[in-house]
Amino acid sequence: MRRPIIGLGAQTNTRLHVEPAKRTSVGLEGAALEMRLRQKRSSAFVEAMTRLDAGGVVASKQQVQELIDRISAEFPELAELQLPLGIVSKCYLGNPYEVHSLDRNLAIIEHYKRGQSLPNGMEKARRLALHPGYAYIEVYTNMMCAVTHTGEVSIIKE
Amino acid sequence: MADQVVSRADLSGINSSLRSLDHSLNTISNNLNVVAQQVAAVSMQVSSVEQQVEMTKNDLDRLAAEFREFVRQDALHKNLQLAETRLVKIRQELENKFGHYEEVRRRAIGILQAVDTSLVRKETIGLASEEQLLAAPRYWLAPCLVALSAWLNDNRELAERAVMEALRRDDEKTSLFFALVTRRGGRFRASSAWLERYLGQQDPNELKREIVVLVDAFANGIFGLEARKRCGMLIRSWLEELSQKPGFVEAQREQWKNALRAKAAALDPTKFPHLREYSPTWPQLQQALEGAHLHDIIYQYFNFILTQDVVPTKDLAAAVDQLLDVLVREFDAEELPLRREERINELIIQQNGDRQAAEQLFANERVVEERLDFTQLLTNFAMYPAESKASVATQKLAVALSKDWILEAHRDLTAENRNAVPLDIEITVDEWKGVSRDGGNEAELVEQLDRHLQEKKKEALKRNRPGFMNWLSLAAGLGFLWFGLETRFLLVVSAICLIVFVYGQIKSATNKKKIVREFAELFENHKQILLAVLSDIVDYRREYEAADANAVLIGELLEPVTPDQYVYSTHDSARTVI
Repeated sequence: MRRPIIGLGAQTNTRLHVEPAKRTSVGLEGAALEMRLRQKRSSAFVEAMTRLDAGGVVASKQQVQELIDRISAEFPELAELQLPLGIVSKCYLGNPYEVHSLDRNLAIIEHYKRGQSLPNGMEKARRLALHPGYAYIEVYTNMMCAVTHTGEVSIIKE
Repeated sequence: MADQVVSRADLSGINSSLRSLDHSLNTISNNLNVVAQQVAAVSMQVSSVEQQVEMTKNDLDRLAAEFREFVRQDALHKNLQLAETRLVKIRQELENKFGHYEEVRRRAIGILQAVDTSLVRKETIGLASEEQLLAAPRYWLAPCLVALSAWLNDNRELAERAVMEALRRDDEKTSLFFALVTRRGGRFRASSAWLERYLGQQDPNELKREIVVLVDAFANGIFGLEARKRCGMLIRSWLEELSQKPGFVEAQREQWKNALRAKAAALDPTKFPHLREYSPTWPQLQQALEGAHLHDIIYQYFNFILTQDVVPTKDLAAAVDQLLDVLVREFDAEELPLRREERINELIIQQNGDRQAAEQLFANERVVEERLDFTQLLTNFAMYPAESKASVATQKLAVALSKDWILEAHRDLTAENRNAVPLDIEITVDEWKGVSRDGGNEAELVEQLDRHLQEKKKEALKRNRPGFMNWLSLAAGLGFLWFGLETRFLLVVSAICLIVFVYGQIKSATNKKKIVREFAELFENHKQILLAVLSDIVDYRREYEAADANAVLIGELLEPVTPDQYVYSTHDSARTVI
């Protein structure tokens, strides 16, 4: 196979193949699920989610898995499918990077430049992720949870 | 070789003909010059007509826009006038249909105050009450007055019969009425019994609007200690009961979101004029900025409620009289359809004739409903105090009891608003389109605009080049000249063709200068517009950021509020805990 010389993708990512741990809990539904998602996030969790770029442009496999485990641990009552698809927050790696995402299913952290779209339905979180009032955004299939630095949650439904 | 004699030719005829031809050519040439001048004049006139057509089209567009605006304003004006007329009519109808109740209402308070001062004979009071009973059949308050006068006259039998009739006509209002009247007279046991009777009939899912009188009495410390404890527990149990209902919290949040949204004010139409005109993103920008300004409006509103002084009434009797007045005057179910009409017309006037906006507000506020759940009533007390007849103390208590829902609703509204602010702002000047995020990419956009106009200029110059017909006329002119040396007619045709060619060249050269000049002017003009739009974008982002920062103030204001702070104990020294 020929190696490309020009037009290399500007984004840097780490694709890891990690099997998520099996969850046995029965998920909440409807209003109960929303009530749970509205609960204040723990400060340690908020702190962890705001430091997705702590490992620099390329995150190690272990770092990514640790973050995914923390998401599962933060919502022990939720079924696998009810957990966030991913986390989007402002990227502090500096220009040209604007936001980054933790994709829970693909187990990767990616950094995105201005004008570069986030995949898997996470683009919708870009505006709020860039707002200084929110620490990070949890993206679900049909809504987003904007979490402040104190862990307060606002829900935006689609 | 024989000598040949060539006779001398007589060329005078030819010379004469050539001179004549020369003269004719000069004449034709002069004539063609005149024609060329006339063609140039016609061309200028055509250009002028083109300009006029363009101006007329612009005028027509402006006129159409003005006409549409005029039609809209006219419709609004008519709606406004109609609403004002209807409002007067509805109030007249209220007066005609229910005006005779007014006398009964006035006498209810009058009797109580007359007894206080002992200036009226008991017989007179009895007689007056009986007259009212005859004058207002079906009205619940009339037998209440008879019962009151019988009670003052120590006529137990009559009092009981009158009370039974009043209870038959309207049990809830009669119970509340006597709970307040007996409290006014210091009959604690009787007051508690009436209150129990009233409370026993209440379902927090379907409360009548007059519950505001009870909440007012509770918030203003009118009831005694026992009754206040009872009310405090009741309110808590109602809130708990309602919270258990599936979907209650969501409905509450939605209800508060609507109530908060209704406070939004339209943006000053003179602000950001260039952004308005040249950005297709403007509608989203406007909505987002109005949403951001809402934080300050909400903060000022709640701050005003919570810091407003509660002016205590001089004594318990005056406080109860105020409540009785509200009870007997404001909540008669018979009047409700007309009260609804009255409210919707009031809203149309408030919205300057915009009937659709008024109907939307009416549907959201749900103030004039026969029965409402307790939390909707709390929303109404806090957000529509005049319409729901809530006192300042009740407003404060309602805000304190609803603060968790208010904060959640506000947090969601804030996030929705922040999510609706466009990251990139589009700019359109004629056919050119550009994008700016914060107005900082001026140089890049000016370059893009320049490039766009250069392209357009190139196209215009290309279109202006002498066309095929022009070059054909040159070729034909030269061809006819070659063959026309011997034919006068062909010479004339050749001259015409050459003149057409020369004219085409001159016109093209003149137009080229004009195109270059016009595009230079256009660039300068568009650049000025672009700079003005970018300046508006900078101002917009700054204003949005400042307005959005006020969102935290609402949390800071409401977080520390507790209901206990706002239950006053004006008429005794005990403190109530909810």
